[in-house]
Amino acid sequence: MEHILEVNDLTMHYTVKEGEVMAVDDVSFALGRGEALGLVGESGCGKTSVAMSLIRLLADNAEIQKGSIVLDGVDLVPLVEEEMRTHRWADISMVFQGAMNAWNPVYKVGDQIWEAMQTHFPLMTESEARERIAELFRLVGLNPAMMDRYPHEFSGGMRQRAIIAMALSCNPKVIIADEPTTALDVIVQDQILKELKKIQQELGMSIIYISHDVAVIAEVSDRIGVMYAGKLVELGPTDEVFPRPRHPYAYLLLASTPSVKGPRRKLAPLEGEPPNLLHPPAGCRFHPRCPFATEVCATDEPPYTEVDEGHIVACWNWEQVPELGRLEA
Amino acid sequence: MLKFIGKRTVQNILVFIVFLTATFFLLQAQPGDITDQFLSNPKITPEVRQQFAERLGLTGTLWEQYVRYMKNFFTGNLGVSFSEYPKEVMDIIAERLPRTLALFLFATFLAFIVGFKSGKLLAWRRGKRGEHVITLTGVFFQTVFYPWFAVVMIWIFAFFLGWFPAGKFLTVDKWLTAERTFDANAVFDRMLLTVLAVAVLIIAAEIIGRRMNSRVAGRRFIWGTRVLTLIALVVWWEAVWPEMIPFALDIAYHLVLPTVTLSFVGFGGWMLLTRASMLETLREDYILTARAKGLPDKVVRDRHAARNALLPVTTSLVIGLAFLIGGGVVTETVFSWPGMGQTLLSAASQQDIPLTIGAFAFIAVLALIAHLVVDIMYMYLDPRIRVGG
Ligand SMILES: Nc1ncnc2c1ncn2[C@@H]1O[C@H](COP(=O)(O)OP(=O)(O)OP(=O)(O)O)[C@@H](O)[C@H]1O
Ligand code: SF4
Ligand SMILES: [Mg+2]
Repeated sequence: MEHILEVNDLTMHYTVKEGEVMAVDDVSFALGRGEALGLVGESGCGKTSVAMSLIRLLADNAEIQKGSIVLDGVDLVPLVEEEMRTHRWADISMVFQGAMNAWNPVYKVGDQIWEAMQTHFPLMTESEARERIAELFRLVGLNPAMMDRYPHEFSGGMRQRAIIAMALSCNPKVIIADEPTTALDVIVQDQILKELKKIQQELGMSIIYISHDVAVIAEVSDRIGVMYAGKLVELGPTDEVFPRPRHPYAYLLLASTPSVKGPRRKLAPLEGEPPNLLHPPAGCRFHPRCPFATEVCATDEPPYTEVDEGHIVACWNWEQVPELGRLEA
Repeated sequence: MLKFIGKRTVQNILVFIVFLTATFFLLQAQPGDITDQFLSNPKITPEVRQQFAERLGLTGTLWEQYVRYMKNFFTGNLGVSFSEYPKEVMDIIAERLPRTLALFLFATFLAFIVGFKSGKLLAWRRGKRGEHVITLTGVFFQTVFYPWFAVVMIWIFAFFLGWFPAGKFLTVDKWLTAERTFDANAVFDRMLLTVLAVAVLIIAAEIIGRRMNSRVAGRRFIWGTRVLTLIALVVWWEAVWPEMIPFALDIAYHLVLPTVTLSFVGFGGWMLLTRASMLETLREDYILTARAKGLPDKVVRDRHAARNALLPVTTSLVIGLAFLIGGGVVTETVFSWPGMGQTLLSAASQQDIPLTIGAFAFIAVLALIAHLVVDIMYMYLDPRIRVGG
């Protein structure tokens, strides 16, 4: 498959008083055209940090240490801010985590979408823009008349639909959806996910879904990447990873999640807390919590092993990991 | 919107009545009878004293006096000033209120614009060089002992540099020697009307321009109106009041130093407040959205961050106004600016009760109107309140 986005050895640190927070460490993955990739992991494992690195909207104390982010042939990492600005939204757009507050309360929703289009397509006339916004609104299931309303006149779900419309407005090559539905109630969450999935397939969008919720990721993505403590520990087709995770962390994460589809699983405990990324454990970062850990895990970092075609895992003892539901506690 | 303004106006009138009542009784509670004050004053004959007593309603019980005073007040009869006898209090106020209004409006405007812009930049450039110096300057202006500061300003700009006159409303010699058919108030009232007309036109153009469908046409309209208004201003004065122009300029020249000095009272506070509010706003999700959309930094800063930072700052405008009114009294005294503040001080110190109450009342009216204007402004700025929120 042709890749629209290739991320190689991406490493990003935050500098704080106490030292360096290694939020993203040597993360590599690729996104095919029209593909939906899911990134999953516990809170604080660096998912948002990856997303923000991709669009290069990092906090003042953050720095990309190494790696490349090649979007349709252009490496974004060395770009100066002014160049990067022209790529944002036009080439890579975002549906933010907690996007409920993503609207500026003092401007009409339509105007805020138009503002993005005006920046990247200065020749577009106002009536063309309105037509495009109306079309996007219909696509995401909103009444086009709503474009002349203010954000506070929208319900939570409507706001999120409008955010999706805005993310689509400049025809980006890649969309990142960071917890796109987390702030919504379950029913709305489900509706919006289904629609997003439908739109993605209709338009052939390339999208990266990010969530701590395995069920969400399983429902919408073609491939799934599991992150732990700033590392990508497993990456493979959803159809393979979801029923048969190879990494102990992925295994425990999936096992502790009630299954959406498929047989009921026995709930296995995922004990302890993710490590503080200021001082991550040596060797495999998961070893203090890992029931499969051996001596080597505490000292040496596990390399990636290709367990199947396009299915990689970073674990010394991946062969020990049983099929889901077989773990005896 | 109209309903809101109506409700607020009624509220303000009630507040005003309470204020006036309190002022009335507080001044009545001062020791000594007012008429005693004038026993030794040869200018005031017993008949006049009787007249005062009636005018102020000094006959009858306190309650009857109060009711009479209020009745008179709302029919525009504020009595006769003792200290500037036999001028009517109403006439004195009509003469001095515009001068205070001008000082107050210009200083507020200047302080707000400069305070807001510098606060905005300060927050935007946080952590860069110069931030601490400017912040400390703001704290200095907010906490400085104001009368001392006013004197220092006069010393620097009037005596040391000699750029501006040290005080007063106009150059006395110039006015005395010139052949003219008008007095200073006539000129000044026309100046104030001009400024208000210009302000109304520019604000109206801003509102209409922003409502326009096309942003480009909107901007053109706004700038066009600004330029035309300025041309119209010059043409009008040249055509209609040409003989007043040099005198108007003389007054304007005298207005500069007190205005700038007074504006420093509000400036520090508004700058620090804007900075805090802007820092808060910069953490909002929609700022991230704006940046993610690839908007230029200036657009993110001005159209998204500063526009929202303006909301809490506007709310607190009212508090700033209170400081400015206090500062206004000091400024007028230090600069010998013959406005309401100076009038109030001299009236109070001479136990000129009708003028004191009158001056208090109109300063209160000024404050309440300013309050109402701020409320309306806030409604205009925040769609959550404007659009049936
Ligand atoms: N500006 C920052 N300065 C220092 N550390 C930060 C900063 N932003 C995030 N971190 C740390 O980086 C790590 C990764 O954070 P990130 O927000 O990427 O996690 P996440 O997987 O998105 O979590 P969540 O599910 O809670 O959104 C966390 O340990 C977090 O505390
Ligand atoms: S490398 Fe060792 S510690 Fe890490 S997940 Fe595999 S078994 Fe567990
Ligand atoms: Mg996150």
